[in-house]
Amino acid sequence: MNISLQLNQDPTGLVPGQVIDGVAEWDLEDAPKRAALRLFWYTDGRGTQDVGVVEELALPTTHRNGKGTFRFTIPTLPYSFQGQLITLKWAIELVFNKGKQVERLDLIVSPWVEQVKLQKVD
Amino acid sequence: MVTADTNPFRVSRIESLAYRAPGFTWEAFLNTLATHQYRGAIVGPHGTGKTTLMLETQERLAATGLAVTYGFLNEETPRPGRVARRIVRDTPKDTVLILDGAEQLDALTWRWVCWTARRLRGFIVTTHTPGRLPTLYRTQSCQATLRELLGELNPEDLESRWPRAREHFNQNKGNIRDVFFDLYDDCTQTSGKAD
Repeated sequence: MNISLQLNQDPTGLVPGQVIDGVAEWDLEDAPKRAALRLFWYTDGRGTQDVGVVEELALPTTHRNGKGTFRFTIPTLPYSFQGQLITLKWAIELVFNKGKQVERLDLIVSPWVEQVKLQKVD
Repeated sequence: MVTADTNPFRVSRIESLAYRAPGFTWEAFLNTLATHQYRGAIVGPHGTGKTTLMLETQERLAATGLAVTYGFLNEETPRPGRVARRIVRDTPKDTVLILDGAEQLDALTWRWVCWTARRLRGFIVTTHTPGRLPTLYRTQSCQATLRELLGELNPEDLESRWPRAREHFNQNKGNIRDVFFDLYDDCTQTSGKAD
């Protein structure tokens, strides 16, 4: 099994509104029942995890392997940030069979040069 | 600074833990479900693993070829009765429906849901107290399970964290999810202030 995601831009230096593109490639043992490529953000930290799927592309499931280009437009919000209580991350994910096979590419989306780092407040 | 994505007790790690309990085996549990035609209740207090158990059950039943739908209700679900009715109505009849959080439903809605779910292949619910459907399994927490989970989440600090974990366990009356939230806070409070 081989799944890969490649982005033509630097995944750690993306800005809101930017158009991103790349190549998805997979070679599975069997043709998948479901396959999708999605752009989404998610939170991690304390409490409940939130997820926002911005765009999801259904992929062909007729063959066990495939290769294709993709293009997404990153929305203006939310920004990536990192704090003590919560962190928000962006990612592109290539998912087969409801998550049994996954390849994820983490992205940093920020209008500034670096990801927002929330400071501790006493 | 320990950030949210380096804290060993962050939610993504807690949710990736597999269900476990002393004496529990998947073979026996799935046999119980099958014997009861996939109809009954999983009963247990908050934070004892009902949702973890049900999510894993969904996957395991689906792997056997059964169609399974999972619906979730909790205190934060707006209009849980309406949500539950929609879930039951939209579930195809050859499907096993797992309804997590059935204690959120009032008596009238529960009767409607139960009646309508008769047509389904199976109907498994979770509740905090017994009585809604025959109890098939009870979840309960214990310190042995907590220690095992703690060892998986934070093996390098298991011994140093264990006394605090036991304190939290007693304070939270055995709610393991809340124990991990408290341990999360311990980690943020012991880390230094950011510059």
